[in-house]
Amino acid sequence: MGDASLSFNLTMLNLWIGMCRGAAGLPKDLRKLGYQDKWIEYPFSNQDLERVVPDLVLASEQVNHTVLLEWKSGANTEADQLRRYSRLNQNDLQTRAFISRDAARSHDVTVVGRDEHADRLRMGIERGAYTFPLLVADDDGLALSHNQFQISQLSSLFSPKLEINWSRVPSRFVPLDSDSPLWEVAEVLAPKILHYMSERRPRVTLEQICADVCNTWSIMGTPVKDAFRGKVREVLVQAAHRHFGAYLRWVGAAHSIEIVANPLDLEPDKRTAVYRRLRTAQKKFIETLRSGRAADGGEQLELDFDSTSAGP
Amino acid sequence: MYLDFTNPRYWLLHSMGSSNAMDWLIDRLVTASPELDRAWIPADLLERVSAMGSFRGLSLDYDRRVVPDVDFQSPAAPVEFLKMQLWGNKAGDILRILREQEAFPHETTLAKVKVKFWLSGEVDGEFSLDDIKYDGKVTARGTSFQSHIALVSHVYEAYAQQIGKLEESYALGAYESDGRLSLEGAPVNLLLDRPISNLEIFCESIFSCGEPFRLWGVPTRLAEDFYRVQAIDLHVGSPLQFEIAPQFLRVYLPAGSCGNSVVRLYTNLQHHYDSLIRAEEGDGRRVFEF
Repeated sequence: MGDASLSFNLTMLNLWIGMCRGAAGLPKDLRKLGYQDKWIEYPFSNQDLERVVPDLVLASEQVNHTVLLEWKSGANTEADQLRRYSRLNQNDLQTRAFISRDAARSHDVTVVGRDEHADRLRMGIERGAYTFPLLVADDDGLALSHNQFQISQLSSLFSPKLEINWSRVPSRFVPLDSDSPLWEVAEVLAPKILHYMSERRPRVTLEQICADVCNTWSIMGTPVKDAFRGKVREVLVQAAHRHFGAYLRWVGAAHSIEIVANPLDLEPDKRTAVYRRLRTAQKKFIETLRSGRAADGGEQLELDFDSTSAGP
Repeated sequence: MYLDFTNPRYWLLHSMGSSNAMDWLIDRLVTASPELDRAWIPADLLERVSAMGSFRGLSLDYDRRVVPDVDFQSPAAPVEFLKMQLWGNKAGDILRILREQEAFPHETTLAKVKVKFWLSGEVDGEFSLDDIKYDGKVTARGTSFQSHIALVSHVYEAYAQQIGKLEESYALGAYESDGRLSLEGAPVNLLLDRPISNLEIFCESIFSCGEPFRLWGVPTRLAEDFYRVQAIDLHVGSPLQFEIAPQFLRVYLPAGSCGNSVVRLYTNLQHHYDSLIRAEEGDGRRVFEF
């Protein structure tokens, strides 16, 4: 799958949303067939009142079809999960997943995995004699590897392969999750802090920051939230102690950051220089985290700012 | 001086005084207050305005030196700088000629149009002669203030409508209701008629905090021909996200951000990169309907 920077799950989520929403550089076929991304990781019940949580649900009233997508970054399917999916019917989609009657007329549970795991994933589907289409991702795109879609246009679209330039898959629909590396968290956090500065907010809680930078925060379970919160905290602490020390203070007791120096407090003609320094600091911070030198103390970047307003 | 803020979001500042003094004042206000920005009227809208009356003149302004991603000394280098002023009834003809394929279609960017406008039709002796510039400045002469105001209102309404459309239809946000998480919005695809020559220099030029883009961001190189940037619009403090390939820029406007940031970028890319840049949505429809 080339050099995609995101995890398999985030890559797939952003790719499919991007294809539905017409991001430049991606195939337009899904959008032309009227597919819209509906819900991300929405849990609902099948006819036996057993829970299913597809990673993404797409629906098209134009072709009367719904696709429930399940990413598999590894080689194994879960037998019980597939069995629960197999018990979904049109009524479940309409009444429990809030899919329109037209779009719910037919549906496919679709497993999306890596090409190198195709055989194992296929075996998992065959074992239950399920009709779920299996799409596999290789370096060139997505291919239908097993079974057919209920909609012939979709089967044709992925046969032999829907070409995808993986290096250009969008990443900004859902930019972060609990698996994101620290440097990607930092990439998103610093501009957010500048945004807080523009709003002249003196203090922002960790909880608020997590909710602001992570689209899926509201639906994350507690362990996932804890993991993500830990990453954000780590990046903030490092930023406050190192590259952004002149601007930020981490207040551990309150689980929050304090903005101790704000470029907007300066005369307009002095702000640009400070913004440029912040930009240099961010560049170095990302480089440090990306190269894995996060914990070694590194070089403290001296930021020349009004010393009377600098942090403690 | 008279300030019309009937719509608190869009102010119209009128003056009978020297426009130089007004330029200074507005520049100071906009620079000092992140809450204020100019209107950045795209060439498309200026052209539409030129057709609303009698098109009496134009000014072109293109300066690629702001984004120096090519060697301007090389024989195949594109035009570096093109400025032109022309007053007279042939303005439309000149514009057509300059835009022909063998002329300068990529560099012919309207910066100002002069329009003679009659509120009650051409037979009326009451008219205004307005110079409408891409930075929102409108200088008027003539016999009818009403005509001038009517023309300004057309420009303002068309502009405000596009800002509203960007914020309502494209702003990207995640919404949760009863456990159902869905997204709204879509990226604005800025498509370039000729590919970006050097992505690294392009990104550094756009996101280094300087005029005219005033965007703060650290470009992350994800592939040889693909960058992403988490940016802040320093004019208004709004976050914006970008994914940039030689052929396109995907612009993500987060919910709550200011649509003017996208219009300013689009307008400035017309003036400093490619006059033929297009803003499209996923199915090829134009984002801006001027």
